[in-house]
Amino acid sequence: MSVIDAPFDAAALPDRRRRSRVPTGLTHYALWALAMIVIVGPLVPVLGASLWTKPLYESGGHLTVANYAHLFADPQWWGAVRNSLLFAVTTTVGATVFGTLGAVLIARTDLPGKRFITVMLVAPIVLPGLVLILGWNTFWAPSGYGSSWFQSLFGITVPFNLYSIPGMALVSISMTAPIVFFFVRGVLSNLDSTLEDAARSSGASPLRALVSVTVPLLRPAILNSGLLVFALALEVLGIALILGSPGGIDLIGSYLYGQWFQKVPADQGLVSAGAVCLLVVVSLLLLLRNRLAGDARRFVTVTGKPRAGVVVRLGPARWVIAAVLIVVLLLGVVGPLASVVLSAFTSVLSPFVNPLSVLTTSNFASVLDNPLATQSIGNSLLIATIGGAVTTVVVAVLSIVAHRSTFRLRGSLQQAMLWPRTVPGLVAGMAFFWAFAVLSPGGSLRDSLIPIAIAFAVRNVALAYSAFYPALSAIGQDMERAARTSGATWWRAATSIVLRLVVPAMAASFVLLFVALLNEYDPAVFLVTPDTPVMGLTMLQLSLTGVGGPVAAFGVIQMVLTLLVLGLGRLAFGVRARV
Amino acid sequence: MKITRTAWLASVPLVLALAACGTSAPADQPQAQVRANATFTPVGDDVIAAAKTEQPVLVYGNANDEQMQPVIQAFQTKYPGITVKYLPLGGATTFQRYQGEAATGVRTADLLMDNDGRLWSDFVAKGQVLDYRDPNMPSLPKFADLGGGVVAVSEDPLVAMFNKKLLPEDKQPTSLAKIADLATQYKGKISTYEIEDSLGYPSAYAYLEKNGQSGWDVLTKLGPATVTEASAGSMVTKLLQGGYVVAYNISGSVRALAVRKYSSLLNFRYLTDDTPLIPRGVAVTKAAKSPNGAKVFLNYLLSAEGQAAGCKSGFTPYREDVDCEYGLNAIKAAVGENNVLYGDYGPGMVSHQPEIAQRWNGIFHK
Repeated sequence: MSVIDAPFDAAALPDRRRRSRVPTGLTHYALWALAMIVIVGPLVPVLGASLWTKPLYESGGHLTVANYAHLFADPQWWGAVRNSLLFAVTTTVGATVFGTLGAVLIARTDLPGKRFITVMLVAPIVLPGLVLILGWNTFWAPSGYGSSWFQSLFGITVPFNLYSIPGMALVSISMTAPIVFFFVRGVLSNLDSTLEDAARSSGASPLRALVSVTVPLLRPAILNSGLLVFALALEVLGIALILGSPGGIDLIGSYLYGQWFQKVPADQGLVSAGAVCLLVVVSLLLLLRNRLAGDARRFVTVTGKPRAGVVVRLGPARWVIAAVLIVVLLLGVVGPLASVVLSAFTSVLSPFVNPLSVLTTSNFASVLDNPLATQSIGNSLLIATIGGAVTTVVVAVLSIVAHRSTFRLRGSLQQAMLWPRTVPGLVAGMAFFWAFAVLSPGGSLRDSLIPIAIAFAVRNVALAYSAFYPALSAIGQDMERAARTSGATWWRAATSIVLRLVVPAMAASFVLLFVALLNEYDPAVFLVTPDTPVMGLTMLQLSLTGVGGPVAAFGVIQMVLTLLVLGLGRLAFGVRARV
Repeated sequence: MKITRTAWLASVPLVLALAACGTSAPADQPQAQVRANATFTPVGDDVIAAAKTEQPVLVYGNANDEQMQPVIQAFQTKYPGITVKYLPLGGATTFQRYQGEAATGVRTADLLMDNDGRLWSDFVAKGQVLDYRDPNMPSLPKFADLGGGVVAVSEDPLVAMFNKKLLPEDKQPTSLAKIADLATQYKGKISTYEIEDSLGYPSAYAYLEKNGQSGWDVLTKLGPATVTEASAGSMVTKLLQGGYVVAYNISGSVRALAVRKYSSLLNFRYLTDDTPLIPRGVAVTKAAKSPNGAKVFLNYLLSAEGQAAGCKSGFTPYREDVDCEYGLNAIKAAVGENNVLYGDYGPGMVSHQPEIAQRWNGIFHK
């Protein structure tokens, strides 16, 4: 949108009397405090619960370190930590290599079928994660469709076991490579290609210029996304529960889940201690990242007018590379998803039976007959709509304060909005569980959807912020200044000028939030009550207890709702997936 | 993500076409009948009237939804105005969710229904069962009273389930010891529950109590070849796909559901040396917010009519006035009265759990 089109309504500007009533600075402080309480505050009770002898909702008890002592003395915990580290390292290496390679190939070479490859590559990030896990489980399980087919085609068994740590990491790589892809592609599209030109004129081949000049410049993006992937891999729950159980493999997520839900009485103190450890590790990683990334200005290359990068010609190799990429994505994304769809529309999915002879919609009928499933769908739609709308507005206002004011603490506000992205979902859920257990001991508030909605929203603040912020920074400050000079208060200028100009960005941010809130599940694990099931969590429970068909049908419903919203968002607001 | 408009629209007719294929006819149901001389002992009309003013009855249990919904439908047809909501939860979660919710004051289950005797004992000891005796009690066999207000709603057998394309019926072993003999041949293609499952430990305990060291020897052979699962659902799915040849000690509910539905691929067998009957306990909870509704539902579950309804979706009726092809009498006839291992919620089962679970995990999760 051109900023020059913005309407300037002098009559709407307020008179001076109104101005002094509530000082702008005070409202900024109030907003800041509120944001900190909601985003950071809930972590305090987790720390409390980990250091207290009794659950916080019971009276009495005293300070203790016994929870930590028990945790550190439990060999199962160390086993889970070891498994998780191995899993996270494998995931991070795989996702970084694959994501970076994909981004460089797509942004900078003449690879054929780029659009098709991009769609397949980023699909896992917008689709519900559990559906993809279920797909891998149907397709690549030692007995799955893909495995049987592979065996009959090549005469050897599939070279990996899905129920091992490397096998689980493959699933995780397919789900996290898009994160690296987005980060790296973002940097590539902003780089100034004159740097490469300099290398070319000194005699380097196009490929050499790309590898020696551009790739090193990607370091901050790779570090950033790699760290994010590592943090996400440390806290996975769905993969750990669904794929870990057949091999008896515990990861940190499933260990904490088991100590809380599969033990009577639940060891809530110990789980809280584990959650605090996880949080500390993730925070240390963030600090480490800042050290490693070094001074961000070293990587600034856009000065003056950058021009689009030169396309590197791969020659005949481009066909081979594209074919390999497509095959990998067909096996890792399309095959698993297709098997979920097939499983949802057949009464039995087995290599012994021709699927076309057992087509049925009865799986969908049984899902729609199930009150738990329908209530979950309703609740999730409600949270996604209202929660998404409220979060969009809140993030917009907070971003304007953080970037368009002279508010002293604005820097911390920016950090606070990005931080929830690295807080593990299980920890966030537990944080809100304890916070509401303390705030509403009678439980009346917990019986409503509010705690889950807030936890989901806070967890996705970073997503909304990173979708919204670029649009905000693209709007020049001249008009606000003009308004201020004509007598408008800061708030008046912010709401009547800036906020109006960013409405399209808000719409895009709403669509992305809607999808994220619709499919979110791990924070709900601790917060759910019988009246507040949500779609993602019900999907998890069904995948753990139910039989193939109906579970797949529920997954297909989730997938269709997601694609429908994204499709509409794309048609109406040009929304694109992002992380 | 870029979803091209054409690709998007192209997918619509496919979905519609699949939807048009229609629903296949439901698999035929097991035969179950209430005998003409059955005793009928309902709750009082005042309880039924009070139940209709309460919120829906909330039930937590370890049966999956497919097994529970038909019973709930039958109940709601008989008692219009009372609704039942069911949450399928496995392992200890049934009890843990209740306790966590009761302690923090949020709405929680009015009725629990689970096979885990160890957790039931703990639950009773904590005083969480409502002090209540159902009018059906005098008509039930003695073993149905599990003590402390917990009643068996079903005597669930553990069975072996086979993929008959991979192992034809005439070649299938008839005992656990003979399945163990196939362990090396079918390594990784044999499955059972994790020991943490509601049916996992009770069935292992019943088997080991009868067989002692020779039982451990059989398990030692089976362990390294067995893949453990957290639910019957995943075992069935993989048996159908051919990932497993046999699942032993799997919930008897598969007899009425999966085996009937996929009869061309699957069959089940009662094992002569390992057919434990694990009582599925049911009780009204102390924190029940719909206690009257819970009482009406409990009464229905224990009645001849409710037991017959349960037979159709995989529960195992034990009342003498109910005939069911998967009922207690049918099991006795199949394996011989003396080979049936009756599980109970006794103190021995509780005290041996840590030791057995540890030894078991040592064998199965090396």
